[in-house]
Amino acid sequence: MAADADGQVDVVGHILDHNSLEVPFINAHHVFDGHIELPQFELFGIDMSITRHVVMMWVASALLIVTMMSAFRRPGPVPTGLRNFLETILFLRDEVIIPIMGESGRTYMPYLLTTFFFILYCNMLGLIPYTATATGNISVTAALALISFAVTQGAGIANNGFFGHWKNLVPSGLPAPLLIIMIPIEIIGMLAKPFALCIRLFANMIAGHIAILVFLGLIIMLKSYFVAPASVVLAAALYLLEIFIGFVQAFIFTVLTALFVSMAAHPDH
Amino acid sequence: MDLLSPHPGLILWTIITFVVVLVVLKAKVWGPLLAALDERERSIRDALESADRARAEALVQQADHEKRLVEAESQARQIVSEARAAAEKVGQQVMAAAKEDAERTAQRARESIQAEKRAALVELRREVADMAIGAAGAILNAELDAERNRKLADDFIADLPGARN
Repeated sequence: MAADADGQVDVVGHILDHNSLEVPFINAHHVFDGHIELPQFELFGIDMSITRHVVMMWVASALLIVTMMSAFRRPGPVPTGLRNFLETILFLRDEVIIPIMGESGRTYMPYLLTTFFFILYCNMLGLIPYTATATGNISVTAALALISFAVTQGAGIANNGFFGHWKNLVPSGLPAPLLIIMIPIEIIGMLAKPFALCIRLFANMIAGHIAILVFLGLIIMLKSYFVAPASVVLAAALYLLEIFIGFVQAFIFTVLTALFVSMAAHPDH
Repeated sequence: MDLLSPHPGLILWTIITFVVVLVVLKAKVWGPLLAALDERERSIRDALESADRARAEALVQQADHEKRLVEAESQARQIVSEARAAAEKVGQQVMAAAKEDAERTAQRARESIQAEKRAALVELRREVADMAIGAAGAILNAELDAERNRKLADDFIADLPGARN
């Protein structure tokens, strides 16, 4: 966290993406304030720089793959150790996804479980000092929402045929004049779902971080040690809340995606 | 870099990363894991079903055992009551025989006592007669002198019928 000479704290700068990683112990003069520059390059006119959030996403993905593979290395019938813990999260399958989507939910299970754990790991990784929350970047959540949107439309097309899917956009049996109103509304509604997914995850992830930073920033801005206990207690409480929110938002994103996919696949429900 | 403006490069990186993670996890984790979970569910369901079957079987067997137990109990009761009746009968027979025996013995004793008594009386009588005769003899020997004898003979003769005329 950067604080400049006149005691101002760059809260939003901490939330934003950067072309460098914050790393401690590499700068002899500012022990806790080292930076590693990341490569910047363009491909086909698109800025494909490896930013801080890309790196965090990769770290989260690597952690996810490593923990999952070590936990489920031997897929025998009896769970042990880490697998026991991770399998408790698989209540998603029996208590959430299957009840929402029916047996056809099994087809989307790998995608939905990956979404849940990918978001969860990104959320949790952002809570460690010197890391950043990739899911607190609107581009990352937009990409996840785009994937959700694509899966939703794909499920609709796969189940109802290409034309059937677009016809299901509007409830059948409406009088023709209403269609003039209903079609734009339904198209907006269709686009609003992934937009809401994107904004909800993004906003929830940065909100807690900003609140924690503001509480801690108060110590520096007010230049008083007496503020510190209250700030630290509140920041710690928010930190715990952030852990909870990290789970809840991953869960909500997954459940809503399951719901949208199910609605697209079976519009008559 | 602005807080709210999407960044195409990052969107692409996210999609690429997500798809790679999805492919790897699907191949290495979700497939085997979901299969293992289904397998476990199946084995648990099988185990529960077989437990249910075993319980039903056990219930049937228990009912059977109880029925047999009741039968055995009634049989035992019957055997005991029969034995008791037989024992009572035997006891009564023994008692009657003993009573009869005792009566017979007593009767015999009474008869022999009567016979002994009679024999003893006969003996006593004979003894007494002998003693009386002996005593009479002794008295006769001692008391008879000439004068008395004469007197006796005279009295006797005098008392004879017709002697007064």
